[in-house]
Amino acid sequence: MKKFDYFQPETLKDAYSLIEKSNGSYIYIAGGTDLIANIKNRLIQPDALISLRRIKEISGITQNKDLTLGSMTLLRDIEKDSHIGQNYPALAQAVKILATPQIRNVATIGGNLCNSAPSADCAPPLLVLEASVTLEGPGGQRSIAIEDFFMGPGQTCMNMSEILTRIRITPPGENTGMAFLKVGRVSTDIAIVNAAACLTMEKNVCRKCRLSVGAVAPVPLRLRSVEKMIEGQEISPELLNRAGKMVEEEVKPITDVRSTSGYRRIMSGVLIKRAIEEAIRRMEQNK
Amino acid sequence: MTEYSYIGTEAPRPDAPDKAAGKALYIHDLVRPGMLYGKIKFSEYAHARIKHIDTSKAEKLPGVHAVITGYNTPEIRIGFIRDNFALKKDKVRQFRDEVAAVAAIDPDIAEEAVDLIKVEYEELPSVFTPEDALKEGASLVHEVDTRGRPKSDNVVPVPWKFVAGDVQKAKQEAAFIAEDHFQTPLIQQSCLGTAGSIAEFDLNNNLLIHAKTQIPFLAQNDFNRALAAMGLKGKNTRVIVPAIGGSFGTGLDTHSYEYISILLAYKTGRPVKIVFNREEEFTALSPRQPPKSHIIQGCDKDGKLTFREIRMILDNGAYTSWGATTPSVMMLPISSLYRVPNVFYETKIVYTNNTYCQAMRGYGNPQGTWPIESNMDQLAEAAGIDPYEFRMINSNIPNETSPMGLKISTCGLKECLKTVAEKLDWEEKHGKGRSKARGVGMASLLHVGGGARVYRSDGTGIIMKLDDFGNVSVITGGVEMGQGFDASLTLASAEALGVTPDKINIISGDTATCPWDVGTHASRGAFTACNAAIMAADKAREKIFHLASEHFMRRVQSKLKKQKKKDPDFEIPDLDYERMFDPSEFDMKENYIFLKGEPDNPLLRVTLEEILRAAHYKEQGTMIATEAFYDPPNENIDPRTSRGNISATYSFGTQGAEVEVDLETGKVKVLQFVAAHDVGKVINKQTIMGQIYGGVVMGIGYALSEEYKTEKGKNLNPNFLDYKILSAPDVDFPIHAECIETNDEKGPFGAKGVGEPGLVPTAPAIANAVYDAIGIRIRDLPITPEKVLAALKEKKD
Repeated sequence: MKKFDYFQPETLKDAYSLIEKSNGSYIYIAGGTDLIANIKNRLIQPDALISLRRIKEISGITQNKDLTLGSMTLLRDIEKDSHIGQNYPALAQAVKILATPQIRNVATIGGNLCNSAPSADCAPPLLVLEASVTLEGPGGQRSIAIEDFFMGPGQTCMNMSEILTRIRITPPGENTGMAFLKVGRVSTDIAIVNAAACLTMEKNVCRKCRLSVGAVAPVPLRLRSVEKMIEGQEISPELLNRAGKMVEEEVKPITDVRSTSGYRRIMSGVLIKRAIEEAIRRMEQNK
Repeated sequence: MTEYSYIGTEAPRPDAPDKAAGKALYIHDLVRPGMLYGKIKFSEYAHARIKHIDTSKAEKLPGVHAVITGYNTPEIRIGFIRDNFALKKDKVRQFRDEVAAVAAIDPDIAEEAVDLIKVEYEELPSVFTPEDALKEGASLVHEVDTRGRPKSDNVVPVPWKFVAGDVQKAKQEAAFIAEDHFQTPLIQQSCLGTAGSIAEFDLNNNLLIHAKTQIPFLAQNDFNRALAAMGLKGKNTRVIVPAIGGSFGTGLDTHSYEYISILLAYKTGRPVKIVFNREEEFTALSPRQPPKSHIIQGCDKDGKLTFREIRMILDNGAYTSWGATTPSVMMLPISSLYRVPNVFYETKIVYTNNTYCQAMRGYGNPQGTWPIESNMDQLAEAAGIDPYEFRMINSNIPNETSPMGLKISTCGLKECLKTVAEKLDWEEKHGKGRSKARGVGMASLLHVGGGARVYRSDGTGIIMKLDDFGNVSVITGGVEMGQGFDASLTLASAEALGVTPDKINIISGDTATCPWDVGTHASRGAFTACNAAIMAADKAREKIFHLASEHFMRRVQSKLKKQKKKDPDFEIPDLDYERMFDPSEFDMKENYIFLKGEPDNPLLRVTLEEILRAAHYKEQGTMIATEAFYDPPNENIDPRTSRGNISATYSFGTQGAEVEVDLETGKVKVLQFVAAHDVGKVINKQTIMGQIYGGVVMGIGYALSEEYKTEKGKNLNPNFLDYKILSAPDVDFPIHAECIETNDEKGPFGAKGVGEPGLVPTAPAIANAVYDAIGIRIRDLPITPEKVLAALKEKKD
């Protein structure tokens, strides 16, 4: 492993000034569960790491009108938060089965997003919840929809000096149910496919549908055409089958050491169907 | 039935607290004064000629003490047929070939130095499947054999063949026949503790090596041979085995990295440590061989097996380890699992440019049992007989010699089968769950349970040394590698000697101080060491009782006098003092020596430590240290006839699974698992349960998820991110482990070996359950959701 310097600034401003001095050879580090592995595997060789761990303002969970998650919030803290468990079960479930307890004790939600793996488990729930993320840098701050954040495997819309500081979620309205599902080879695994659904129902008719599937394209996908097809319809087995087929056509999975593109394609359809069913069941349970 | 004080109890493992608390010292924890860190430069090709190695830059790097290659060190030949070299010259035959190595003051510098070594190669055509390797004109992995004679093909000169009866005739006469092809993938042993060694020389050029090995004394022999090759003939090796985090067969051979640490230590005059990281553990250690089997079995109209024919082809990889002898163990189930009179078995082992293979838990038995037990279900179906009934009809029975010459003494197979059928509710469930995609399946095993005469000796030594305080050092040649060896030996020693288990200290893992042993393998650890412990304990008891005849009376008299002093009303009883001079009148239990028949009178018993001190602190005194060497009554397999009673007794078992298949995802979910094992006798209940649970979970991983994937000889998943073993959350179903006690007279207290059996029949039990659930027969492991889904689709079309 190449040696590197390590900084622990306590304010965003200090972090920016460090990175601006570095000419692109420094990078930010959150929990480090992916980043350190990448350094060890020599995929990246930074001269220095700037840890965001001591910057208090970007950590923690607050619920006012919206739910705000500091980017440095540990996955373990999200998992343990009863309010999130109650009101955002798709996110709670994604975090609960993400890697192992040891990893969740150091990994952060911001890190999971900034790593920008197509299989990031936090992405599908945030996509169906239509979360927004705040990016801050020396040049100021901007807020963008999570959907516009991912650009490709390991690539986001952020520039080198920007920091993802907050994730904001507006609570979904009444009669809404949501679910997150994942297929792995064993219990503790990177997703072969993961998926989330969030549906607002009026009796049997779906008023609003948000669907997302991960690990089957260069970025986690929102499935807009499938959503449109479902909205205004009664949820029936036929509709679900049609949705499943549509999903299979929308995804662009690859074959790798973990799975095949064919299997991933079929699974994305199956998971979306099941996620919709689960979301509706949860909504009915909450009534 | 004999009443035991400790045998069969749930005594906690003596090594557990230190291991759980992180205090046990593994090779990774050890630091020797002045120690350097070694690192190996591996090949970048599967098959290539080495044109030039430039080490100049590495040598100049500050902190580097030595850079070695095959060109500047003595040639050290290694391996089962000595076709391998510690460092490679001229050409590389697999990706993991060691072309150079460095020793440096820290691991980072060592790594940097390895990167600075530049090797020029000329790539050669490669062979990656045994079939391709056998083709006319295939590229030769080895151009010459170990004697330097030119080779004309890629066949490893270790053929295995077994013939009994007349299979051709039986084929013609059989009422029902089932035939199929099966295969298993490369499997990595997945030890939590990776491999490593620290070598160092004293100023007399004797070698001290801390090594992760299961065969310290055979390793001593291997290393002494290396010393001779280095011009140090007559010098000796002392092997010390630190705590081991799982070995599973990886420690049955000595490895290049160990010899490289020796060469580096000799060159630098410093201790040199080489420890593999996880990626190296995957890519530079040897996985379990992947055989392809063609099986045909037949039975008569009543369902009695009449013949079994198996032809197997094994991918050896580029060099030959002791793993090439695993077909001798595959021969056991092939010739003798269930009663079958006519057997034909032949296997061909073939060199390829893949990573070379090695033994793993089960020593070939899991690969042998996979086709047999999958095909047993197929034959039962062809014959229209329930698979459980079919197995009962053909079950082995006690006191019978099999066609291979295995003298089956006790045999609890029928009871194991019955237990599994009952626990799974077989009658209610088998063949009835298809509408819910649920099914049950079972498979059995036969394995060596009384040692295994693989080498000329199957012996093990024990020394029992007693101290002033009644503590007993049980010094053994066996190795604790996580399996619970110390725990079973503790209870057996305590029971045999008559002391409490807390008095027992197991000392192991040092060739200089421990008695000789052939190796901890073949499920022989507890069987052989506990038998040796009983022998050593008998000798110790004889000595103790002899000392008691000298000292007992005086100690008793002084006790009585003391009592009288305390209590004037106490009347000194009229005792038979004659008995106290007769060693044969004594017995010992729970650290107390007493006259036979009077264990409970506190005035008439003396502690072991009192007697020992009395023996030590007198003129012309004595001490107690006894030794025993146990070599089981078993035979080598005759290489000409492939016959021989390889083990003193045999372990049997049946495992059963209930599964549910998700028809949309293809995922096989285990709902419950039953493992019924003929263990002879439970020595330590906690340890044996650990062995069975651990075996089952490892077996289910082998069945459902584990696969060492390669592309053109290169491992694609050298980490636990992509090599999927099961972890605790995957075991969300009950495992009913049942120990059937058949009390074998050869076994210590009746016990048989159980280290390996837990994973032997697991995969076919699950595959048979999958077939029962959805009517699909998976023939190549692992049973992944992709394969199940593809087969379901094919079935539908």
